Parts: sequence; C-alpha cells; structure tokens
Amino acid sequence: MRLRFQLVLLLLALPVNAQVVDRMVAVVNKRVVLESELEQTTRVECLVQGKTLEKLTPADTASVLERLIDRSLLQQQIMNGADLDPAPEEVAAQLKELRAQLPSAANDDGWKALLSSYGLSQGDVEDYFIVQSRIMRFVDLRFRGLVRVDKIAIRAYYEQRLLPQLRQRGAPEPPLAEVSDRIEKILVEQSIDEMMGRWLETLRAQAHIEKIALPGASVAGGARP
Amino acid sequence: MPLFRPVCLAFVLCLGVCRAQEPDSAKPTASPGPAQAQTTPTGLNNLQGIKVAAIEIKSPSVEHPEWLAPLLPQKVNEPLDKYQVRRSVQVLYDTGRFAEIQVEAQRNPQGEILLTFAARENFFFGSIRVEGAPSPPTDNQLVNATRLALGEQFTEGKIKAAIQGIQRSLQEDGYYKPAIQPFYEWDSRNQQVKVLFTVEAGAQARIGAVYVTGSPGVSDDEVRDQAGLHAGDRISSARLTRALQRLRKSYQKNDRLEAQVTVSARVYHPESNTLDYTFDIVRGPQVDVKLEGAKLSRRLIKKLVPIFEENAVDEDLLNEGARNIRDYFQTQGHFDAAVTYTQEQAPGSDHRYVVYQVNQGARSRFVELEIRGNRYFRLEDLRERMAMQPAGGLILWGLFSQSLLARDIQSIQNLYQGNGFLQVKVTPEVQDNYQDKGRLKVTLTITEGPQSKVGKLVIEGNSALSAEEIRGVIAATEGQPYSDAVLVSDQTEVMDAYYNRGFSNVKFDYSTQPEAGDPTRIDVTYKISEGPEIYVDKVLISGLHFTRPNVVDREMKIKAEAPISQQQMLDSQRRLYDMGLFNEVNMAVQNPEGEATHKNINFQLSEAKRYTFNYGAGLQVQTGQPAGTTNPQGSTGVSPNVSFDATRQNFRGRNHTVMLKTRYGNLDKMVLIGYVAPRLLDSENFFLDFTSLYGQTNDVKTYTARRLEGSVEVKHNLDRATTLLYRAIYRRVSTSDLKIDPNLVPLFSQPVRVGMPDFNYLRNTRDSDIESHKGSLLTLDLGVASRVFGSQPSFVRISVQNSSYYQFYKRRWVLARSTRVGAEEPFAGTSAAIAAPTAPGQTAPPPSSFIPLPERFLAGGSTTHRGFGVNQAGPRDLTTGFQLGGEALFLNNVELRTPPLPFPWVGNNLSAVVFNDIGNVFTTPIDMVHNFLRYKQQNRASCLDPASQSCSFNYVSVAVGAGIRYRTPVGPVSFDIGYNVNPPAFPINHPSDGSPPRADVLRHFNFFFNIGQTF
Repeated sequence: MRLRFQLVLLLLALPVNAQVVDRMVAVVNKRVVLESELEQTTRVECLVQGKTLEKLTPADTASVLERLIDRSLLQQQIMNGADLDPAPEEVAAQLKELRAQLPSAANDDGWKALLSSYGLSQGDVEDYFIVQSRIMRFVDLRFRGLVRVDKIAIRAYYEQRLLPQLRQRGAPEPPLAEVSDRIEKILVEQSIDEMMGRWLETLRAQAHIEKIALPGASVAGGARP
Repeated sequence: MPLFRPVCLAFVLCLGVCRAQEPDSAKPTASPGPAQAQTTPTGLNNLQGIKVAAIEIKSPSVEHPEWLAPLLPQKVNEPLDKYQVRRSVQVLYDTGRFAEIQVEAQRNPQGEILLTFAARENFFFGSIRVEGAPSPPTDNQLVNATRLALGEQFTEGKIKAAIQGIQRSLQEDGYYKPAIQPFYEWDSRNQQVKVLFTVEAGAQARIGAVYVTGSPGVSDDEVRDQAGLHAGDRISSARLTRALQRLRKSYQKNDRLEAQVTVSARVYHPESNTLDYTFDIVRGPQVDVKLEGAKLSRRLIKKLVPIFEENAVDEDLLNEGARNIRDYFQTQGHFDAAVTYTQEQAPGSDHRYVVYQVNQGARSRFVELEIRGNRYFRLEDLRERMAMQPAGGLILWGLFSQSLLARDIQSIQNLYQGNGFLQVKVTPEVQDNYQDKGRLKVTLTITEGPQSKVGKLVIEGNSALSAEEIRGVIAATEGQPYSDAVLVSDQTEVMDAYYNRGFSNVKFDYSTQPEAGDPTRIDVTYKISEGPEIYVDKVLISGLHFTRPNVVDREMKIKAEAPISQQQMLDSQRRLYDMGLFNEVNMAVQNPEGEATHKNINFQLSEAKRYTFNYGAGLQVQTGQPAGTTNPQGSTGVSPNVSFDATRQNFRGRNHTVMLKTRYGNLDKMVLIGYVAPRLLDSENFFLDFTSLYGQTNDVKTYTARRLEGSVEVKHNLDRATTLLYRAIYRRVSTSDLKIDPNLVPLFSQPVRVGMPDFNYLRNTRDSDIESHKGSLLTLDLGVASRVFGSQPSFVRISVQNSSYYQFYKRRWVLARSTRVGAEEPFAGTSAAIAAPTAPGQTAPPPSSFIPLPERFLAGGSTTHRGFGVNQAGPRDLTTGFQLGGEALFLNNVELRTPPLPFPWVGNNLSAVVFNDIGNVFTTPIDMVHNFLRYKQQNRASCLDPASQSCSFNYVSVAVGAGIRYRTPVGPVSFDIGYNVNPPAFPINHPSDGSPPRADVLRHFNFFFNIGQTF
C-alpha cells in the first residue's frame, strides 16, 4: 500500500510529457508540408464547400494533401509572389461572397461562431483566399496568352454541347451571336486547364515529392542508421 | 464566372467539383452548425496565441543549438504564431541537416508553452571506400564508379546506384558474378556515414564468340585476328580497347578514314561464364587525298588535313585542311597562295577523291613590317605580341599568312582595348613587290582613338569586407584606363575574396555609365550581395590507419568555427599532399546544398604505401675519367652506375622518413642511411636530418677514398628564399690505391678522422632551381674541424658562391654568371696531430699539405670548370702526375643561354649556350691571392722538364666553349665542349708504369654529357 502511494507520488512529481503538436507529412522539392497545415486547409475547404467536419473522411484528407502538393509545386514556380497578391479589398470581397453563401454567417456573431466551430480564424480563411488568387493569376498570366479559340470550335461547342443541354432542360435557345463570347471564355478556360494539367504532370515528374506516413504507418524515405 | 469551371484548376484551388459544375449548386446544402467536440482542432492549430516560454532544438547532431535558434521566426516570450512555427520548421529543414522534424509542446505551471523542435538528422558521406577490387579495375576506379561524392547526403537510392556503377565497372573487365556488400559506420554526432563496399569479384569471364556484322570488307576470321580476340581469352576492358584501336588503325591504314567500328552487342552466358562480342563494322570508302598545283609529302598532308587525325570526312574538316595548306604555303613565302578542294565519289564506288587545288602564286620574301600610329604603346610592346616576323636569320621567307595577320591584328586590338582604347582600329596594308619584285611589306596603321578612364568607382552592398579591403584586391582605380576585361577580372577577385571569408553565395554585378560631360570617363559601380557567412563546424578526417591524427591536424589551415575559406581548404590539401604520406586527399563541404550557417568539412585521406623501393641505372660520358695508373689525365669514357633506394615513410605515425640509399658505379660506391624529421620542435621552419654513410669514391684519379660519415643537420627556413643549415659532421676518411708517391707525400695516405661543425647560409631567389632564368643564389659555407670536436686535423674551411641570372632581349635570352671562392687553413699544429712517417730521410711536408687529401678542394668537369676533365684542375704530384687538390679555389663562370632554337622535330626544347669558365684550384689561399691575375703557368719551361722537381699550378686557367641543352621534365640534358686556352703542363718524374720520365700538358678540348645546367 505504502509502495503504491509512493509510486503515485512519483508519477505526479514527473513533468507532463511533451505532446507532439505538429509533424511533417510531405516534402515537395524541399518545401515542407506540415500536418497542421493539412488540417487547417482541410477545415477551410470544408467551410468553403459547406461540408461539416463530421463527414470528413481519410480520403478527403488525402485529396487535400494532393492539392497542397500541387499548390506547392505551382507556388515554387512563382518568382515574385508579392506582385500577384490580391488587394485587401479583393480578399474582403471574396470573404463577403463566402459569407453570403453561408446563411449562418450573415451576422458577425454567427460568422465567428461558424469559424470557431471549424477551428479557424478569419485570418486563416483570408490566407487561403490570398494563396488561391495568387495561383489563379499566375496560371492566367502563364497560359492565357497561349490560347487561341477559333469560330469553328465555338460553333461546335454551341451545337454539340450547349443546345442539347438547354433542350434537355426545356430552356429557350439563344442565338450563337449572343452566347459566343461566353462560350469563348469557357473554351479558353478549358484550354488553360488542359495546359496546366499537362504542366502539373511534368512538374510532378521532375519534382522530388516525399510523403511521410503519420505515426502508425511505416516511414518512407529518409535514412536511419 | 464561366459555366464550366476547369476541373484541374478547381482541384488545385479546391473549388468543390459539384459547385463548379453548377454555380447555383455551390451554396451549402445545409448551413453548417457548430462543430462537435471531436472536430475541434488539434495540435498546433489549437495553441495559437499562447505565450512561448522556451524553445529547444533537439537532435543527436545538434551540439550548438545557439547557432540554429536565431534563425527561427518563432521567438521566445512571444505568443505562439502557427505560421511562424511552420516557417521555423521550414527554416530548420532548409539547413539540410534534418530529414524529419516534429514540433512538441509542453505546458509549464504558468500555462505557457515550452516548444521543442525534435529533429531526426540527415547523414552525409564521410568516406567512400572500396576493398577487394580485382585490379583492374582498382579500388579507386571502383570508388569513382560509385559516383558518390564526399559530403553529399546519404540515401538508399544513391547506394543502390553506386552498387550498379560498381557492377558495370566490374563487367567491363569480365566480372559478371560479383558479390558487393555495403558496410556503414554511422556517426550521428557528426552526421556522417562512412561507407565501405566490399567486393568479391568472382571468376573472370572469358570470350565465348566474336561475331561481326556490317560491311567489314574482310572475313570474320581476319577481323578476329586483327582485333586479337579469340575464344577463351579473358575479358578485359584494356583488351577490348586494344582490339578496337587495332581494327580502326587497320582501316585507317588503308585510307578508310570514315570507318566505324563499334561493339554493338555483348551477350553474357552465365552457365559457361563467357561473353560474346558483336562488332559492327562499316568500313566506308577509301579516301584518297591529293594535291594539285603543288607537292607536299604524304606526312605533311596528313599533318595539315585533319581528316586523318579525326577519322572523319566532313566539310568543316576539309575546309580546315584547305586553310592549313594555304597557311603552310604562306609561311613558305607564297603569300598569295589560294587553296580550294573538290570531292568526288562515283555512285557505288568504293573510292572518294578529295583533291586540293593549290595556286601557290609567286614566292615573296616578307621583308618589312611597319607599324604606324602607335603612341601609347612602344613598338617593342606590340611586336612581342605578334607572330608575324620579317625574314632574317634562320627564317628565310619571313613568317606571314592571312591567319597570322588576322591573329596579330586581334592581339593588338585586345591590348589597346584592355587599356581603355575602346574604339581602337588596326588597318592592315599588304604591299606586294615592295621596292623590288618578290618583296612583301606589311603596314599596320593603328588608330588609337580616345582613351577611356575609370571615373567614379562606387562599391555597394559590402559589409563584411570594407571598401578599402575590396579596393586592395581589384585592379580598377579612378583615373586608370577603363577596360571590360579589368571589370571581369575584378569580379573574380572580389568573389574569391568573399569565398575565402565564408560567403559562398556571394553575388557580384557591375554597371557602367559614361560621365555626364566627359564621355571618356566611365563611372563604375560594383554591386555586391554578400549572402550569409558560412562557418566551419568541425573538420572531420577519415582514412588514417598509421598516421597520427595530430600530424594531420597541424597541417590543417582550415579551423573549426572560422569562416569556410576555399583558399584555406586548398592550402590544407596542398600541405597534406606535400607531406608525402598520402596518395589522395579528397575534401568537401558536408551538406553542400543546405542553408546551415555552420558546416562540417570532410577530408578523406588515402595513405600511401609506407615502403617504397627505387632502383635505377645511369651513365656519365665525359673526358677525364679515371684510366688506371699510367694516365694522370684520365681518359674519355663512360661511367655506368646502378642505384637502389628503400624508403620507409610515415615512421611511427609521423611524417618522418627512414631511408637507405645505395649507389654502385665506376666513380663512386655508397651506402647511406638517413632519418628525416621535417618538423623539429613542431615548427614548420626547422628540419632535422640524421645521416650516416659509407662511401668509396674513385672520381679523383689520385686515390680511392673510403669515407665513413655521420652527420646531424638542422635546416632552418628563415623565409621562402633564405635557409640556414647547422651541421655537425664526423667522418673518417682513408685513402687507398694511391697513385701519387706515398713516400713523398706520406700524410695524404693516412686515415684521418674529421669532426666538423658546419654552418651554411643559402639565399635562393631563382625562378627555377633546375633551369634558372632570373634571380640569384648566394651560399656561404663555414666549417671548423678541430680536436675539440674529435677531429685529428684542425682546419677552417670557408666557401662562397654567388650566381645570378639576367633575362634580356624580349626576356628570351639569359646571361648567367657564377663566382665561387673557397679557402682552407690548417691550425693548432695539425702536422703533429697526424703521425708522420718515420722512415729515415723523410722530411715533413709543408704545413699547407696537412689538410687531408679528401678534404681538399677539387675542380674540373661539367659543373665547375669545363676547361678541365673531371677534377683535373689544380696542383699535381710531380712524381706520378696525379692531381692533389688544393686549399683554395676560385671559379668564375659566365654563360649566355639562347632561347629555343627553331629546328624541326625538337619543338621548343633545344637551346644552346656559349660559356667562359675561368679559375683554378690553388695550393694555398695566399697562392690564390698572389696569382689571382696570372693567366699563364709560372715558369712553364720548368714544368715541361720531365725531371723537374718544381712546377707551379697557381694561375687562372681560361676556357671557352659551347653546348646545347635539350629540355626534359627532369632538367635539361646538356652536352658541352670546352676549350682550355692555357692548360697546365706538368712533369712526371716516375711514371707508375716504369716508363721514362716525361712531361705532360692537359688536353685543350674536353666534353661533357650530363643532366642539368652547369650552375
């Protein structure tokens, strides 16, 4: 009995063990991706997409990690990020648009409660928008000048994709001249997307990407004696 | 917003796919309510804003966390900012020292956070070795095959690639079944891993079959014979290389210059351990090169037309051949020579004809080169940079061609532009038939233009080096001539200065701007971006088995915690090589790509074999060699000798050396045991040397000397040029086989013991000890032999030599002179110290003769006085005619050395000398002083009387002569012929062969064949 008491005292006297609060989950060309970053991005994406955290699956987290890796690859291609950063007003507008889409974020208290429920601060969301805008602008700058859409492609899209969709919905069919500009924009976006897809494939092939398994899984890469 | 959101971009930017497909559906299906308890953020995201009380960096390799802490954006006593913590992790990762980092947090009683960055270290290659190589390939070749670099980061992938590299290298030599095993020695503290690959090569494969494909033009058996490859031969890379060379050569020999011979397949059969080769041969057409309009030897055509050397025929090479042929004819005086070529090959023909049409034009002599308009540079300065040369001397037609002209114009322009004349123009004018038919004159008119000078010189961005320090290393100065070349060279100098201060990422840029109002003054701005300063953490040395670590440490110029300096690293490497203990000294900065502020430096050493054995043979050919008892002048002859040396380096783990040297030849026999300690009292400037030797010399014809000698020597390097030697010599010399009359000069034949402390001063400022062109050499040698030091005779010896070398006429000619003066003086009753012969009627010789024969001065030969045979100068024994040496010496040599002579075949290696040697060996120093200006033998008639009992040799003998020098890596091979203007005459009262008395005169002509300059 006495011995047990002494053991309890000894355990109480020991300092509380340090807790691991963050760890590396991936390295993309020497750029570290941390678990806290992955968690934060996942939560912001859930907020933006209107998903509740309870519905989050490991596959979602893995998908976010892939996006973070792509994002990191693209950010490494940006020589001077400050030139591409959005103005504070633009970020505020994006925030306003997001809140408008979330009924519980209509007033400030509701917005704060919502952020709190996701474990986020407004700064976390703003940071997310800034990175997003920076990458969009960069991609736009890099590829838009390379895209050419001719009238044949616009007509083909009008006849083969738009009109069948509208007919299926029973919506009125606008003349080609009226929607030509909008179709051109869509085709430009699609071309940009295809080019970026190919570029990302190349970047991934050339990059050194190391995913580090979380505790419990076997450790990949690195060297130990 | 477009109707369709691109999927890929949406993925990257995380725009939900469902929302992207239909904008209206982007709205949340249900308003998310407050998250449940289990969905609250964990870890770092939950600690935002809490005060950080302390930060620790934990890793086995981190001995100095204070070097890393300042780099972290997250600071102590500030609220935790998760973004700063993430950046801190990134900063630690960027140092390159860590493979994985995790962040740990612990609350203290105040609720503050104790933050720990726990890191797992990376490992870097600390040494890379291979053992068990079959040779060939050698261990070192296999190390190279691993492609692993010292200091670079270890990964399993690199090891796999290294093993594959070793396998490939072994396969080249037929080892297809090797067992390669890597062994690791991990060192967490220093973050290094030493890798050793052990190799068991297995049985060497043999040739199975040799197949031939393509169009070889001969049978397969002939190809195999030419290649020298046969079934059953061992596989080796050298054998295959030889085979390819033989095949290519055989096709080339038949003018098939485009023949392609390759090994297209190698098939290994593990069951029989054999390898099949397949040679693919495309022999190509026979190329026939002809000249029309001129004749050249085939050898010269092959030299001028590069298709023979390159083994290929294309337009570029044929054009180059045309230019070379034209230049050749132009250098032969055909300055208007023009060369074109045509190629012909009939369809299906096996012959291709290349015909060079040469229009030689008239032959002219390049008689005059005029340079006008040069004000800034003297004519000589310009001419010494030019290759064109008017006819004269051995150059019959002058050196001129269009390409030489273009090259010289470019040289002049470069010279001017390098000195600020940015708009310089050089206009050539070539005059045929100048003053007379067949005479060519070239005029170069230089328009110098304005000289640009440096206006303001501004240095920006420097902080580690002051502006004064930078100005100390750069060449650009305000008011000095401006040139781009100077700025480029300054860039190199400044960057080197920064590299040597640990700024390995320094950047340097310069900009120029003409000064407003004065466009000839150009303002220069140097912009420096220093980057971080990198320091040495530790110097890690591997590869020491026998050598003591402190022996290596003291040679290290690069030290822990000092900035990483390239120069210091190179100095350390050089000093380690200079010790002679190591075959290889590899060095590298550990973690070269990391951004750590402190880095380890790796030195991987490979110890040389401790025992070395050298053996050799040589010969000297010269006049005056010993030729028996009847010929006091000696004869012309050859003296062969053999040598064997054994050296034990790294004695007791230090850079001390024990050596045994032996020589056996006609002129001398020697056994020497030595011990050399290069650093005495741990000082770089003191060397200690113990030597003991037994020698027998026959080079003096008078006697055979046996010498048993022990000496200890301390060498003290005062500075780069000045050396002091402190020696204590103790030797016992006996003579035998005496040619002189022992009854008349009995003391010479006595064994004698000499103990002598000796001091030597040496100042050497020559540019090269082997072949000097400038500088000087001064030596002073002072020795005292005395009973106090155990010596039987007591005498003082002093000798001084002063040599100097002067370059003149374009620094191509050299005037070399050397003066040697030596004197010996007995003291303290030396005559009583040596037992005089007791035979009745004998008288003691004069005091001057008491210095033992082997200790006396001798002269004559290729390195002293070329008017005499070897050691033939000076006083002689009048009974037998053999030389006795003397107590004083005076020699003065003057030599004019020409630049390389323009002879064919010898390149720049052959030169000539003319010389004048005067001087002699004198009986005593007083005799030398009294007869210093005497150029004729005193009372020569008496010397020519066979019965004469007196003959003086105290006069200055004069020789003139000439020689040639052929430059070799070990020094010039020299051949000299000397003519003695006034050789001495001497009587031989009692010739050894019993013939009647006679008088002799030393020969006028002497020749010498040797290695090295005279002085």
